[in-house]
Amino acid sequence: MADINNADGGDEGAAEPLTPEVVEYEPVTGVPPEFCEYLPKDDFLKALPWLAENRSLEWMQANCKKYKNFDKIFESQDTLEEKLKDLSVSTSAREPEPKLLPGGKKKKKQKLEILIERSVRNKRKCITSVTGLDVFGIKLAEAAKLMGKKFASGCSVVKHPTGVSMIETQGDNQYEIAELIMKKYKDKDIKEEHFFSVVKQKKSPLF
Amino acid sequence: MFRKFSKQESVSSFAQVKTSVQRGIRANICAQYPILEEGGTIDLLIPKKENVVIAKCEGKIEIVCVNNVPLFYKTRDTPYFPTLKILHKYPQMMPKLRVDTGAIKFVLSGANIMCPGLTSPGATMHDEVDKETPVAIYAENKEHALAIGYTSMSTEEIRTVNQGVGVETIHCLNDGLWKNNHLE
Repeated sequence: MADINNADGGDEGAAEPLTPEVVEYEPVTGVPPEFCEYLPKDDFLKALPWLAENRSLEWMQANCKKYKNFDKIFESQDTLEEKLKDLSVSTSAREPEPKLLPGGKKKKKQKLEILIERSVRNKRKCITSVTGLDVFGIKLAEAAKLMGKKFASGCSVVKHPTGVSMIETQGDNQYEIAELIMKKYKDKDIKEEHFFSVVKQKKSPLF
Repeated sequence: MFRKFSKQESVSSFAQVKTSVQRGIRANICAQYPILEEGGTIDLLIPKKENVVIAKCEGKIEIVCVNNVPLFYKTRDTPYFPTLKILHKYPQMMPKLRVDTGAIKFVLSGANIMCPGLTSPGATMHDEVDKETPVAIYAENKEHALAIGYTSMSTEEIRTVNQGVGVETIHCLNDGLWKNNHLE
């Protein structure tokens, strides 16, 4: 293809795909290093150790103008390194902050428990719903498919308006589900004491 | 537009599109950014054989993803925009506008770009563009683009009026879309 194009147009440059330019990103914050100074101060401090290592002094002086006290730090190289050490120590020593959801809400620490509830649908038919699998890092859609296959029944992921999503299966199979989960997700470290069965909104250990 | 974007909350559905639709998207993008079509660069971005997935998000945003990586996005009444990662790779694809240093801070937090930020001594307008054109926003003394905008006036108007919002910031460094490099 390329040969034909060249013969036709004679313009080699235009026929070649553009070569993508490689932009270096600062690994911690993920933005091009030159924009680090404009990030919130916390992020900038996190980026600093990398910048100090990978960029020259002149570059730092040119690109960190926003922080006035840096002039003092830049006076001699020794102090710079020391200061940076201090900075990096102070940032790494700080406790990890609670993860913020995009809306600015604090993420609740979720309890490691799996709730299994049986609700009667129609006298002798019932639905078993499982809540809390996502906390263990199990993909709900996958697990639902697995259960559907295992019990040869309908099985779906239901999202509650409160934000909790659960898996609902047809039929009464509380214990089977628990066993299946433990067997299939051995690597997630799920034990018997994580399971609770819910009857009339009261929680009791399943095993 | 993407300030509060997050994978879990903002994306309402993913759908793989038909090849015919995919062709349409490609054609649209090529028509808008002819430079991508010339050397077949578009084939590198959206290979014909790869499945294209469209993520529909709140605010009528559609994001075109290939291999789960967001590449282009549009709303109902705007053309396609590339993500900043794409723009960094192919900086030639869009007209450029450059803002002065004072504006960087605000642009990075997602503010729209006011005319004075584009007309002051530190700023330049590299290309003449019309109203409602996607543009890349660069900054004084900085090499790379920091945002992608949609002009709300032509460059000439920006110069003469010199007041109010000149370019709407659509996508900027460190916003939700930038951080979500992977949509599944």
